[in-house]
Amino acid sequence: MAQQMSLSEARTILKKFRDEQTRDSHLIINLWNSVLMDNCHKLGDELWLVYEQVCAAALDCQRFDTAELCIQALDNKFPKSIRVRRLKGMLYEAREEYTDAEEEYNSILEKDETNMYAKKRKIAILKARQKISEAIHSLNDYLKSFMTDYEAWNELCDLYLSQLDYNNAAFCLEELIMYNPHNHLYHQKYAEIRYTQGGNENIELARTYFAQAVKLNPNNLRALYGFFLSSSYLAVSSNKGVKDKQLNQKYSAWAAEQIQNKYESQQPESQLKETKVIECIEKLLDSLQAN
Amino acid sequence: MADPTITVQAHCKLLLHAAKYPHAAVNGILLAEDCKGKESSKGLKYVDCVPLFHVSLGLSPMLEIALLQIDAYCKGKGLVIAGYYQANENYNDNEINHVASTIGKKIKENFHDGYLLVVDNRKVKSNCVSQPYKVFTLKENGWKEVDKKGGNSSEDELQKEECLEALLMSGEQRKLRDFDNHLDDVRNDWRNLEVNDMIKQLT
Repeated sequence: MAQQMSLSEARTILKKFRDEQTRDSHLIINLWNSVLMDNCHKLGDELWLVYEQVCAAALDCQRFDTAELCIQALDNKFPKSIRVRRLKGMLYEAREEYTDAEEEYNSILEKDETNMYAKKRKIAILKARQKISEAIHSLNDYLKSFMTDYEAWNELCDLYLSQLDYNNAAFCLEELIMYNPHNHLYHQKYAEIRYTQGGNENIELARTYFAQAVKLNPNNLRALYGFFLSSSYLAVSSNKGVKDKQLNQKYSAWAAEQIQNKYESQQPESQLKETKVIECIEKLLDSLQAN
Repeated sequence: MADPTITVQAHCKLLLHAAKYPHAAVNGILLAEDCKGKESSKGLKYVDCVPLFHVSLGLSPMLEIALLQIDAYCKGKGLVIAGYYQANENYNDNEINHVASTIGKKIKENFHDGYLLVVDNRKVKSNCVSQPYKVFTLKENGWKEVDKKGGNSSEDELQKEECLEALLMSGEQRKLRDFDNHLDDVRNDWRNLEVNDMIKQLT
């Protein structure tokens, strides 16, 4: 596949990956080996970005020879560059030489104490060494200075989740929602955490946030399913009386209809016939009414 | 208890799932033929698998939805949810974590002979993949690794290796769809019929 690709095609793919931050390291390495490596003199100034990109991909695939080659080339062009030194640090990391990697990052931080990449890499090392509680601690420290780093809040949330610390994980999402009240994905994830925690109070919260996510993006199927599940749960176990149960039953019927419409309009019939999604949702809904 | 047999299709699909998302944890469900009411002395045989998630494994709502859908599908196909697999995010981590243990136990409640497979990342390489996962079963005092008594013949193993290598070479992992992909777009089919066909052709 990659063999027949022209230089300009390969170039476009790599640029697209850089812009969209797609992580498909294997393909990048294939393109580099089959097309770009022998034509790198034709890339002009883009070459340096490509070197950086290929280097990171090579580390992902444990291709240390390629990574070293890229770092060497970048080092010759930009001696003393902090960005290149970061790649060196990452090379140490990929080889599991964590002490050397940490030294590299520390020396970057001596020169530029607000370098967020070096700080984050150091936290990544803790994570790689499975020192999760230390990683959580450092990431909290980091977020005190870089409060608007959304990716970092998301990462912290996932670290808390891995430790089953749902309350703190939810707190991270609350921060994210506060900064980005219109991002449906944050509402959805917050709701998923509350649902996972369970109990009437949390599931009510989950229902509210799933509903908000659906409102922000009616095509968010996860949020629709979540809304369906949480209102179905409350339709049976709400402790707020019969009226509340009936209301939730109405909600879940509405969500079920939305979901079924989605499947009917988008999934081919042969697939529907075997996966039986529509019937499955119908059955769940019926079981609520029987209650 | 003898270790379960795993068909080429189940074997390849679960490893393709791990290969598609090398930087993330992935999990999925193992399916066996429903032998209820039938005499069967052959032991458990995993005939297929459904790749589930690669985004967040530790949250329950989408898992509930996935299991409901898979269960409905299985009933129509004479299959049964009979096991669980997981590959952890960290390359060196091939232990059972809380998520794996919880889901594994739930599956075992519904299917008594269920097993838990944890992919051993260090043994998955593009050119040679042998015994790439550890198989666990739940005993009274927790999950215990099952001794491999060689229930699968070496010929089987060789066939699996060759098949997987061919699939990876042609980039078939890009065509594999998991339940996360399905939730992004319902046209993405977690049954992976195309990949199944490809595997059939190769064996």
